[in-house]
Amino acid sequence: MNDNEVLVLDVPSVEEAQKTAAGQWGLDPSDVVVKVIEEEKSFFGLLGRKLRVEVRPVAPLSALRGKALVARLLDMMDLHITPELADDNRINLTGQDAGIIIGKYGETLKSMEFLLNLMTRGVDEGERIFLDSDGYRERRELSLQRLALAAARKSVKRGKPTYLEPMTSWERRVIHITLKDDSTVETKSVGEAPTRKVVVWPVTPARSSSGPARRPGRRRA
Amino acid sequence: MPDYRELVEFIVRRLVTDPDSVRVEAETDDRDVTAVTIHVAQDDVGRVIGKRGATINAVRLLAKAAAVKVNDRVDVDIVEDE
Repeated sequence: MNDNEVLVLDVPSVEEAQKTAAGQWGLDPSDVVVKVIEEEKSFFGLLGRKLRVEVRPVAPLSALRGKALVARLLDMMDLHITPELADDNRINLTGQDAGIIIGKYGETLKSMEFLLNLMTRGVDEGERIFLDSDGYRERRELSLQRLALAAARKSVKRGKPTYLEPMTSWERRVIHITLKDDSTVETKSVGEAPTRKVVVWPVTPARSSSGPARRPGRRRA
Repeated sequence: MPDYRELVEFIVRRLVTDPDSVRVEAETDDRDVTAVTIHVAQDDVGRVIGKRGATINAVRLLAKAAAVKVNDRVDVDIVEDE
């Protein structure tokens, strides 16, 4: 990302500076921040006021343009959702239709993110766009962690590998990280996107309290 | 009501190398199913379909998400032009 995005303007008001700069960058006026560096006081009061200001985008231009693109898509989809830029330039989708844009297991949110990154590739040398919707990713992460632990228990108990549903790289990573310190299982991703999935297999004999321990065959995934 | 044709065209034009060749049609049949058909330059077909259909499937999901509230049925497909 480059930090050279700064305009120095002589304007009568801060609002004027916002409008001018936003227009030049193709952004919303609320996406720029104005800093007054010099104020020329005149005897004629406010009317004769002149400001020298520095205007900067509030975030990398690529992120702000990504947000504008999302807004455009949501508008065409007739969904009542507002995109806002959150920490680390993640775009948060919030509003009454948020459930629709998340979709089943986050499928729709993933699709939109995937398309956005394809659509902006080559236009901006920007970073990847990440979408979230009111903490969805965090909730999903927690449920993936529970899923990982359950899969580990199941594999050990049955002495057999457990194949999880196809997941995105981000989701698979959560599974691997959750189980990396679990010495009873190993994890590996198999297959190819978009059906690449995690397999969890036991590395020690099952020691389940219910039922006889069956020695699992070592499997190579 | 969402304009599926406009939505799909907007996305597809930004995915291809030859946006001028993009043509998108939408037709609603008597069972109220809207079929959106994409035409792109020969060289761009693979780009719109994506690896194992990932891209066209993502476009389909967005169109379907737009259809949820109004209870429409919509499907998106791509045809190869000669």
